[in-house]
Amino acid sequence: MRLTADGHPSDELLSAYLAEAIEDPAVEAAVSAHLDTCSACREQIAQLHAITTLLAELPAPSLPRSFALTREELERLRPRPWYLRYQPAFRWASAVAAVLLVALLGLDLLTAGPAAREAPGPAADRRALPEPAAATPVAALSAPAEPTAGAEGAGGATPELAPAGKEVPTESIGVMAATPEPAVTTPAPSPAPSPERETAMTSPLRLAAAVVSMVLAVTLVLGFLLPRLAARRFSRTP
Amino acid sequence: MGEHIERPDDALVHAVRSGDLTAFNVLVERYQHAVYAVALRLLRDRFLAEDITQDAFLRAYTALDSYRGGSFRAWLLRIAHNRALDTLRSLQRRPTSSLDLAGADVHAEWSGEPAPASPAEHAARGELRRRIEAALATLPDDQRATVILFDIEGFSYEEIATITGVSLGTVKSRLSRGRARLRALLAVDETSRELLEGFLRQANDGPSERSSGSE
Repeated sequence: MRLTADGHPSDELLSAYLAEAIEDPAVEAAVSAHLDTCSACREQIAQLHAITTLLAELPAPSLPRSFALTREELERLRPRPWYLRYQPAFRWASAVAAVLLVALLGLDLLTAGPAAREAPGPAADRRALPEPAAATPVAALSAPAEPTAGAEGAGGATPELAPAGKEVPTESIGVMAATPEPAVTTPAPSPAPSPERETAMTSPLRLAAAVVSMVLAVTLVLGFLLPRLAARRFSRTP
Repeated sequence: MGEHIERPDDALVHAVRSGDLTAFNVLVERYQHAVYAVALRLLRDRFLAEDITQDAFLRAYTALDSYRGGSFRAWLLRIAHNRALDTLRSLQRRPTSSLDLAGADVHAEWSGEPAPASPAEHAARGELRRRIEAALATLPDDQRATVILFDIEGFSYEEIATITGVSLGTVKSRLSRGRARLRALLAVDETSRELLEGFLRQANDGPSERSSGSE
């Protein structure tokens, strides 16, 4: 087997032979056979071997310092649980969910409450309630909605309600969760034959509100409650 | 920390994961020489090498969950090697790198010279080593890293495959090409060739493996 054009194995092939890195056994045998007869290539192998010997005895550099991490560094870098890693995201998500929830509930009140109450008036036509609703059920419905709405004017009530609703979460999340209660439950106990069109219209809103409140609950637990519990557990361990 | 000294790597990793922070520093003590030496030989700059060593241990600590057994030192060196190559590439993109300036002061840093045979012999051997290192610095990064890891630091082919993220075959071929290139570089320089031949004449007095060419 001829190895290269000039009959000698290449530098690289000799090097591979020394490293026992020749894949093909036939090539390895050919190099071995060639080395038995060629002193130049034997010299080359010897040089390669000498280089590896000298590389191995290169003195190790002295360390500029110890790289041991201090206790403070280790504590700070301690692999953190996933809920701590995403804590800011959870907190932002809970804030967004709270605002969204208030907006959805406010919207729900606006479409359910005032729309029904204003039905007899001419202004209510804009609210897309063309069906001539009976006077009595409407009056019954308007009563529970009264405390939150608090606006007598027809169209003017809308802009006033939105900011009023947004202020709720700043006080307390518990209060916020409580306030929508009556609005959600009112249609059920109302004695009058509940207008089905109205519930059909508000249900997507309420579904969204339900989903958002679930998101809010989860993000509150992950963003606030769990980290606090974890902090208490860590502070107890020395 | 004392009770950890004899424990194997994986036991220490387990201890770190279950909250024993001092176990990590046993691993640092164990491998800081290898990490720093590889970083210094790749970058030829003491300050960059120090940065990379520090950074490699910090990363190893925070990413300990991604270590899934095998060779811990290969996993650790992989982090350091990747960081060093990133730094090298960013330096090479800039025309005026600190590499050329830093190369000169590296040699003053080595410690622990091997015992000399005779003063002249020792000087020749030292000079030859210096020339080999200078030649090593001119190799392509992948061949250089492989020669450093295998011939200088004594890692296995398998470990180097893990560290550099290539196949065993690639590791072997990089090593062969790197060594062949080193020899060629020394052979074209008159003084280096004579030093190498002088070294071989001395070595022939003692026993040597596979240098005669037959197995």
